[in-house]
Amino acid sequence: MHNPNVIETALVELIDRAEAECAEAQRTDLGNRLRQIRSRVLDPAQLVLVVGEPEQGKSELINSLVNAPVCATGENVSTTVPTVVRHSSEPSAQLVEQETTQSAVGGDRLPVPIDRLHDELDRAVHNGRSVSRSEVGLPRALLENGLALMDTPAVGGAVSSLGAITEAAVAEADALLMVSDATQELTTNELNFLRRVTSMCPNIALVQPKTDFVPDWRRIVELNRKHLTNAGIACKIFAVSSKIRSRAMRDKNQDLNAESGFPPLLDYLRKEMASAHEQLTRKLVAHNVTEAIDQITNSLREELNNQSPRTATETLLELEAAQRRAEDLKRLSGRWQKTLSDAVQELYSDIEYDFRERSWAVLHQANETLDEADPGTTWDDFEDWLQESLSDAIAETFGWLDRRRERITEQVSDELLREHVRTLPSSDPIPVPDPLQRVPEPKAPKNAGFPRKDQILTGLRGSYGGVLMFGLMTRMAGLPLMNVVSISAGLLLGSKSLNEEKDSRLKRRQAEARAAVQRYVEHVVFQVNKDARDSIRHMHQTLHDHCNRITEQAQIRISRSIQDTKRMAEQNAVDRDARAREIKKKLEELNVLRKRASTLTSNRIAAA
Amino acid sequence: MSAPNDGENSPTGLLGQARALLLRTMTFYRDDPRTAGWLRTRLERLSEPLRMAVTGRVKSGKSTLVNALVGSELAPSDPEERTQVNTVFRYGTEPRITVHTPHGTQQTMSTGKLDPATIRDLQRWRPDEVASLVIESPSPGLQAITLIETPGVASTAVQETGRSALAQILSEADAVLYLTRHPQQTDIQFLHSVHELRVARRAPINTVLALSRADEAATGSDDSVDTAERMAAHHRRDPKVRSFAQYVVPVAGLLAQAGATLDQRRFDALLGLAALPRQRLEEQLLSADRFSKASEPEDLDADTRQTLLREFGLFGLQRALALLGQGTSDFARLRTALLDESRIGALQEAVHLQFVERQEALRARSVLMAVDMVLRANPRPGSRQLQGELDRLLSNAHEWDELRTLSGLWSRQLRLPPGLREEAERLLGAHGPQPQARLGVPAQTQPRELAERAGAVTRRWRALASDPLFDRAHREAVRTVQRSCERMLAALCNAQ
Repeated sequence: MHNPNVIETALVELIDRAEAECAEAQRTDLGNRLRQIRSRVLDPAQLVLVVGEPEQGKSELINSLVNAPVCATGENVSTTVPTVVRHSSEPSAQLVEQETTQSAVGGDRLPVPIDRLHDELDRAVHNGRSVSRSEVGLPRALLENGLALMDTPAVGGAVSSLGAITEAAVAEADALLMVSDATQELTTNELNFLRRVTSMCPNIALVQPKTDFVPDWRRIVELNRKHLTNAGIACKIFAVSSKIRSRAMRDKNQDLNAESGFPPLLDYLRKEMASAHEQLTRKLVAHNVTEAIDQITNSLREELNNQSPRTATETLLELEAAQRRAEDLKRLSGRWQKTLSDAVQELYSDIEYDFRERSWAVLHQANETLDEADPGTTWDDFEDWLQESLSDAIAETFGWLDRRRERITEQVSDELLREHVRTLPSSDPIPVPDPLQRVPEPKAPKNAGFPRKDQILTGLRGSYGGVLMFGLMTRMAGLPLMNVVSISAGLLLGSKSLNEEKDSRLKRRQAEARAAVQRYVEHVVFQVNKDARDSIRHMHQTLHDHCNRITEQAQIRISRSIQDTKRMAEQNAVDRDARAREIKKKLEELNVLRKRASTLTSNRIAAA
Repeated sequence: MSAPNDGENSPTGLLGQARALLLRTMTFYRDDPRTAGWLRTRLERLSEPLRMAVTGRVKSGKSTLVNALVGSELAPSDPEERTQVNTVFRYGTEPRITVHTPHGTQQTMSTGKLDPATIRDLQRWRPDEVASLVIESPSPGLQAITLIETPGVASTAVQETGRSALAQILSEADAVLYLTRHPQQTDIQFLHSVHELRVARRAPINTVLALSRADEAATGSDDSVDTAERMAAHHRRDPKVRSFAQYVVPVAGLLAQAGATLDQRRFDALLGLAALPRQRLEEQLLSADRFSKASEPEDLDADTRQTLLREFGLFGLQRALALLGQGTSDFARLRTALLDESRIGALQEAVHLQFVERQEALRARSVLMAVDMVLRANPRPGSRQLQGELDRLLSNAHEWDELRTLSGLWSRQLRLPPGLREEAERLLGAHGPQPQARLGVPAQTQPRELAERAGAVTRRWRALASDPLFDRAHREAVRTVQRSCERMLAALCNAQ
């Protein structure tokens, strides 16, 4: 037999190393559990937890095992505070107060008389003291080897926090006695609980009390054995009767005691557990250390597996995506530039045609008017009308131009929007210019008036010819040069020539006015065209700048992301290699540790 | 405005309004034969006895309790939990078993005598083979109420399919008797999930929690039924239990079954056992094994021993023999004593008070729940109006509030000062829904005086409702009483 201290030291060292690994892997949960195990290894007691659902007879089982009413049983007494029953030379009881952990050692101890334990406990809990457990010491042979029985709050009861206390305590237990009374088979909840706790504490025995109560308990036990096998839980089953046991103790009757089913259970506790304490401790340590290391190993391995190939492909994919985006952007900017220039060219030609057409309509009307009216008398009215209709035409043209501008903006933005966020350029509507100011007013036709002097002269000139002509003709008939005939002919011809003169003057004025109007309109057309072109150019510039800005920004973004990706990839490659080496090293270390842990159970020498 | 609670089958009462809504919903969905058919069965149920589901944890004694309630051994009990099928026990002139398959077909077996073994075999069919069993029996216990036995909660035998069927049957039953040995998380979760439906939440008035196998509490000592009684009182005050079960009773099903099925032959066997010397008898009764192996008295054969053990249970035998030893020597008195100890009477009374007496409110609840389910499952244009009607009924269902408050008062969950308590019970309609009964005045009182008195109590309860010394539950109770007063006053004023 090896010196137990040597083995203990080896176990503690193993746990310490595993705990360090847990700390490194930032798994405080595993570390905490190992710390609990460590304190358990150093504690000579073998802690056997009595667990089960409410009202199954857990407390009663302990009372029967130690043959003393140490745990409260009966109506409405649900165990809320764990009770630990261990060996002592004199019967004693203590309340242990502790702030946080559920560990079986440490804490402030408050001795109480053993027969008043339950009252004291109730009072302490009532007074709001944080009693973590009560401890009872009894001079019993069963407990001599350091066996400690712990009565726990029920799992699955109406108060779920109590069940949590129990489950936390399971981690530091050497063994579990699961209590489920023999009047019924295991429920799904109980099976689930067993499944949960086997990973934390592999030493489990199922105790089925109350066999005195039902005739069919053997069948129930068989059923449970089947359920446990199906669930993959390895555990022994003990069917017992506390009632027969207490009777046997009272009557000191060995047969009855045998009938109660307790001797095999006591044997199990005494021999298999007490003598196998070392083995159990090793099993516990091995189990927990292996489990902790496995968990760390798994997460490390996962990291290793995932890391290297993924990052490379990802980088490649990222780069490809960035390149694709750059190409897209190039295509996109070509597209919007073409759209813009096409639209602007079209607009240039359209706008010229548009205003010319409108001005022609005005000119046509003006000509018609001038055919009828005498520009000499109606010129002022006419000029007003002309300017008004031209202004209207200009306003219409520029309105149309504005609409076209909006459409072009939209077209170009649409092109951009397929890739980028909607940012319409902030373009003002095109102002309607007033080119008429800059165009000299049409000249009013000259010789609008026909002065009286000129009229007399013209009349005289006409009548002079008539008098002379008819005077000469009538002289031949012997009449004097100035006679009735010649004078009346002179008058006739004079008025005629006067009329003719007037008429031709009108015609001239009209022609002049027409020419003036024509010139004027041409002038206006020229000015309007210039203004429109200016506006279009301005619009073109604005739109182009705006789109360019967007595209440039996108380009900058893309090139930055490409750079980032490249840099990251380079850095990753370095980091990755280092990390991979680190992980591999760690894994090897862990493997060694794990091997040592697993040899604990199979080989006694290896541990020492 | 309708008068509050004006008698049975009144078209303006809650049930009448619910039935009218059900009919309207049926008409609305008449082109959908499945929905309409389903609703029709709901309508037909209104003329059948109340349906009560007996459910609970595995091995909580459901079958035993069903037998005790029916008064004869119909439901098979078995140490192994294997029941996977819902079994309906209802009144019929001839014993008959009908098997419903999930595909809608049914097969009827007319048997001269109902044999638990046959039923057990049928119950063990898988839910995809047998949907439900309907067992008709001429037992008088079934005349007022139909029992539905369901598979157990948290059973290793019931698969997931069975579980959803369980939830379904619970929503189909008018009332639920939930059995558990000790309320645990699973029970509470299960009952909560049953109460998830909107209407169910509005009216948690249909569940009685029975602490079954009370004989085993405190590990079968003599006073274990009393122990269970105290435990029940404890749970009655537990707000978690109260949120879905309005009453908690203990019951020792096996004892009740033993009492209900006691006959002369068994009585003679018991007498023979009781004649044994005390010491010897105690030794026999130490455990079930000992009892079945014992050889005294010699004329008691092994089969009878097994039967006695199975039917009475060890605790039942102990109690019966103790009673015989104390001088209860007559058959009928033993039977009464056993039934008394089993507390089955208290359970029956609870079922009667909480369910049969209030079947109108419970039926209205079931009907509204059915309408709610249909409207939510098949919404279509126009169903919104029905939904609105349903909402109106739900929010006006003052009857449910009255019931909840009444059961709270009866079960001592609510503690009002003595004088106030009686008045509250009276005003809530404990002695009858008529204004005279509520006000506690002679039936021939003049309407004017009634109105005056109603006005006075309304004012008093209104003042009480603002008393800051009441906690929330009590304040709500007082408000409910106040509202009852107001409704009564409104009805009286309208009548004048």
